[in-house]
Amino acid sequence: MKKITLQELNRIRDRYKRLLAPRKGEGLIKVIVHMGTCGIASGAREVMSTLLEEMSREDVPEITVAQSGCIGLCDREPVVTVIRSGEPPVRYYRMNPEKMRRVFQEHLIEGKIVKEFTETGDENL
Amino acid sequence: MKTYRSYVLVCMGSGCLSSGGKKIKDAFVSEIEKRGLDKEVKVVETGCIGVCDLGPLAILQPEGVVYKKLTPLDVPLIVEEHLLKGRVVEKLAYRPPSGEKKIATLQEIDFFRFQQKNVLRNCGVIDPTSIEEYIGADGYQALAKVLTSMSPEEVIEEIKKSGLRGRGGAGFPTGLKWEFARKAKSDKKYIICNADEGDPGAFMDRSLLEGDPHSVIEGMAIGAYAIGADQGYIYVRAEYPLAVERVELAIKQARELGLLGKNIFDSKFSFDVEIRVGAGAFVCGEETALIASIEGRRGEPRPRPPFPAQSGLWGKPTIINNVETLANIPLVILKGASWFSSIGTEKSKGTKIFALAGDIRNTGLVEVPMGIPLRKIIYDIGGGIPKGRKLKAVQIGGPSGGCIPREHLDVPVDYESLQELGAIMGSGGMIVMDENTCMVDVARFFMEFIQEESCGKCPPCRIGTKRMLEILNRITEGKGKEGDIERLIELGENIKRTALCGLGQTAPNPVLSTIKYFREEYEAHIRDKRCPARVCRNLITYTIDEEKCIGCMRCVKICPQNAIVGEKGKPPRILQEKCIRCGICYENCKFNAIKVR
Repeated sequence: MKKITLQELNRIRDRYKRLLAPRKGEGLIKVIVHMGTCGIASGAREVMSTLLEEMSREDVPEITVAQSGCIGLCDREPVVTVIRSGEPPVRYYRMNPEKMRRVFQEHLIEGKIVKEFTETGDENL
Repeated sequence: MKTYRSYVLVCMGSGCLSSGGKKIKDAFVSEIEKRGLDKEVKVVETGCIGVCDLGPLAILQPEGVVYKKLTPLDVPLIVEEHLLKGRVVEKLAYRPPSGEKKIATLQEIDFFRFQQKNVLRNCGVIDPTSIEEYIGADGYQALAKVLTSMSPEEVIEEIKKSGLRGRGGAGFPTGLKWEFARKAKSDKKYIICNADEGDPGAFMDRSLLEGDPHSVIEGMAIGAYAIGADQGYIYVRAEYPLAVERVELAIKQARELGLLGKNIFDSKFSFDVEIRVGAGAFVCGEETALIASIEGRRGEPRPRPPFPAQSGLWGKPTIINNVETLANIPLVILKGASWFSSIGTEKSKGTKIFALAGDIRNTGLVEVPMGIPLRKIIYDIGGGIPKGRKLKAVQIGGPSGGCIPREHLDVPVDYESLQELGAIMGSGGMIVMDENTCMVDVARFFMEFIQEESCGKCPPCRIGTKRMLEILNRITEGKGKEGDIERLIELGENIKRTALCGLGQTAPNPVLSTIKYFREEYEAHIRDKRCPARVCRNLITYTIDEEKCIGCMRCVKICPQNAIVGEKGKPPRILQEKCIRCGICYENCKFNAIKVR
């Protein structure tokens, strides 16, 4: 019979801890994928899958993923909103799996907003 | 390591299981697969969430929406609307009873908001069949801390400092009990988890074992290390098949990871746990009777001292702790004695789990800090009394406890305050009774229970409670005599003083406390042959109010005894000699034309 060491116990804890946070409605970072009809039609589901894939990595912090409806900018879908606790929400437009991976690495992990994806292309917005 | 965006937490406590929780879970799994969401959404079976009257239920996280009283037919709609489109299905979601339009999320519901879930922190969150999830919730960290950095004496000191007292009823300081067993010299010692929960209406221990079995095992391992034991037994009743199954699985998983077994975390400490299934005798919750039962003898108590800490199982030093006490241990070790003792009152520390039942809106499992006013539990968490009725009393502590009447509703719930009023903390059964409850009948119910469960070893309990029950039966049948109340008090006081074990010593409590607060009800039964709450059948008569009756014949048709006769359009007549006072006519009359006296 194998015997668990303290290091292994801690490793299991760290891996599973992230699973439990969203079940309590907790999580330091909240990512909202807007999945109205327009969002889904322009590829929000692929963006969501990419996000979940990235989250499966070992080193990520506690993230809560939510889906919500259309925000009214249907031509700029898929839209993803990132809310880090204590910071104002950041909205990313015209997302795709490739962009999602970059936002994940740079904003969610490293904490730097990916400026270029936040542009709506309309100065009034 | 797979992560998910949403979790469907389906309650699999015994309550929800019996109302069809398994079917709900299966429906979610297949529907989510059908919709291709199985890579994004995970269905988790959890332990008791606490709101048992709303079951079967599912909580959708991270949104915290509670879907209640589900049928498998509701599931496709929830999957399509909530999980696929992100819209709450309003007609199935929980709303506060106050009639607000707004849907309340888990964090906003009063029932949960006013609770402090420490011991129950994992119940309803983790999958009780996964040891990894328990570890993810800091499981077995306390055991690791104890084995790598604390001496047994330091562990005992920490528990003593925390002020933790036994949650099984008597409230003996846990650290002190452990110290006695530590100091007892012996080649072999044992730790026993008392999961022989027997109070009518109580299900705290069952829910903990079903919802978070590892926390109890971890608590036992820490206790074993502290006193120097290497073997533990969980004594659980056979009526709790799901608890037995989950604990068995938990023990197996812990053994596989080496969290039970030889040299845990490469220390010198070895420990293993086995289950002993009891046959459900109430007296086996008494520690000496429990030990006798594990040893294979008849479950009968013996005089103490010697206490089990000196001479317990097979004559060896043994500590017996209640399920909830043990589940507190990992918390005390991890968060520290000063954290623990900051919750509660001066002499009662930490939280206590109660099983709310009876005439109350939200029945279920609640955990509150010690010292909380009883009113807060009944009205803020429990949602008050249904049908616009008034509260009469709260019965706390089951057959060993007593009643708290309405005028004492602001009593802080702690060991001493409850005892002063003639009740006890007990293991946590809390039965709420409205104005339609007959207190003599309640006392009679508990005495009948005790009479059936008395083991018969000592005469005060065997004969004394029999006599008390006979008097109570007589009173409720309308044959009470002057002097009955005094005789009940005298018998009760004598039984309390002379019975052998805790069962007998506390058995008169429900009678004595109802006499103390509701003596006039006893007197009404005895002198006026009247039951003020209209419960005792021999003391009530049903008649027809001829002014209100329109002669619809409804009562004539539904009377199971054909005791109501008459013709359409005229008020019928109740034949008293045939009437069995079942009350069916009273409940069904649409014109309130049936009078009770």
